[in-house]
Amino acid sequence: MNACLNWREELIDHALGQSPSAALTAHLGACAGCSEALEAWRQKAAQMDAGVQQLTTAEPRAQGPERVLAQIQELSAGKPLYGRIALAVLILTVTVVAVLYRLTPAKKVVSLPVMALSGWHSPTEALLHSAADPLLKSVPHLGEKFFETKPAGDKNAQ
Amino acid sequence: MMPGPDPDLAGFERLLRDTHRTVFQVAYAVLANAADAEEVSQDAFLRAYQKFSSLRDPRKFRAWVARMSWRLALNRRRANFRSLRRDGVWYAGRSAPNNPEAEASAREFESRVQEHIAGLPEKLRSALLLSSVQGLDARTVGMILKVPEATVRSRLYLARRQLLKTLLP
Repeated sequence: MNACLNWREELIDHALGQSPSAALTAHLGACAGCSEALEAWRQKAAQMDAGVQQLTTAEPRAQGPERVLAQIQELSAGKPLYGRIALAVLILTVTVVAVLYRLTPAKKVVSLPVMALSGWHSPTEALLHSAADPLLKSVPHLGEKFFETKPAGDKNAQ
Repeated sequence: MMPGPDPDLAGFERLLRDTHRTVFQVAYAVLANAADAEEVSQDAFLRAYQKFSSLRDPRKFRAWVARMSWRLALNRRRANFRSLRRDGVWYAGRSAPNNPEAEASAREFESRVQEHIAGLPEKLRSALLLSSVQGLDARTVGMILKVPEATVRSRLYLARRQLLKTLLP
């Protein structure tokens, strides 16, 4: 059962069910070794497929669906209780929030930018005032001077 | 687990009975342990029940719940190394051997097949094992693995080819 090495790959494909090429068909007609190998490999492939099939042929327990349904019934039975608890908690929360809201005195809400703006003063106001303002506001009467000055001759008298 | 919206239980029960065997075998293909596969398939059906209202097309139920079983089984396999051990169900359906020598030889061959399957790349192994589950065609396997049907066929062929080559002299 010695297959020709150069035909080995094609023989494997053929053993797995692929159609042979014309060249392989011609070769199989002339080569007893390859024909024999092909037959053996086909049997091997069938055994292999059966073996793979065996991997998944275990049968589940007959009561499997009943067990699943029983669990579903348990879940369904528990469902209204969950729903009622959730609804009660929701109603209680809403009531508490509403009562607290009513009890809290209303506050005038002033936004932060508005508060900041109300305390702001323009810098030009400082520039409009100076230390000489009182002097500048008093107008001298006729014959008066702004500043008292000593006469020039006094210097020589001393 | 919190229950989801209440689906039509009668409709669900019918689908459950139709697909129970397939869903179990999908889990078994991964876990190779009947007790674990039972638990996983049960869990898959409970999840399916909770999400049943989100399933738009009931015709896809088989693939939908089989995918859940597949994912849960993969998670369990990662978490649980003991599931790697075969529990003997592989041989459970067989009659008492008339020819002990032939039986021993067959067991040895199957053991080799099993060993070589474990050595296949994950994508090829998944396609091979799921395709061997009765009731799952290439299209359904594609829906479980989220790949096109042609990809499933291609992977299945490559897996068989690789496996056969390892078994040849």
